[in-house]
Amino acid sequence: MEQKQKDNLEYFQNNLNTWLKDIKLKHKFVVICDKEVKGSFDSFEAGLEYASSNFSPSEFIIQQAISSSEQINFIRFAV
Amino acid sequence: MSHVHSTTFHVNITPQPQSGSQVHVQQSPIALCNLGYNMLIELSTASAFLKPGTSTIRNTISVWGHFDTGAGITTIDQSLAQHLGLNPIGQSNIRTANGNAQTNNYAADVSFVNSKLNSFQNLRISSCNLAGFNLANAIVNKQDHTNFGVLIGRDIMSKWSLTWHGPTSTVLIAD
Repeated sequence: MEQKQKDNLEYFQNNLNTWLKDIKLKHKFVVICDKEVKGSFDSFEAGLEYASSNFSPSEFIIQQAISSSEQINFIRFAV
Repeated sequence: MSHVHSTTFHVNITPQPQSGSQVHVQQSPIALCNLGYNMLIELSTASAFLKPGTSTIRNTISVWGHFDTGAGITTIDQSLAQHLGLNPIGQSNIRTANGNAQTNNYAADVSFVNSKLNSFQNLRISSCNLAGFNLANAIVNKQDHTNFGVLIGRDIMSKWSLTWHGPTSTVLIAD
């Protein structure tokens, strides 16, 4: 992950608790570029279509605004 | 609507039966119970990155995927992401037997070899280091279905109607 993306991820993590209380962002797929929310979408695919059309692949991230308890992703085979 | 019907038979007759012998073949739960269900899938660069005027080229690999109801997001081995030249576009949390970890997310197109099941375009996929996966072997040997580099997660399964008939090691998929 590029430094700009890491910065965007840090921005996401710092704001997630606030966004979880915002009905416009909770559960949405949020496109973040330059440490700004550029858009929120109902599906990842829609967010990717928007982001890939407007930003360099190495500069944006797409994160779903959900709390860690809302999705269980248990990978039995991971080491 | 498409569907996949998979039943695994293992027939081993030693010594060879004489002419006129009767052979009784029985389905058993062993295949699904021991190995789970694996299907050959094709993993490609996400269509969203293949717009005219961009330098991105479509890379593709066919690799075995393993049904994993524990995975919320379909997950690939890190080596596959590097092999296909996928760009990370976020991260997600995964729980493993060794504890929690944050891993990169990517986007990819996913289709199912030898089936008419609908493919997935621009699917969000997560990544991890999958125990036992060997990329070099996966490239040259498509027969070893235990060498899976993809965990087919609940995001894909949520689009399917699945019947898991354990006693006969039969899986039915309809979309």
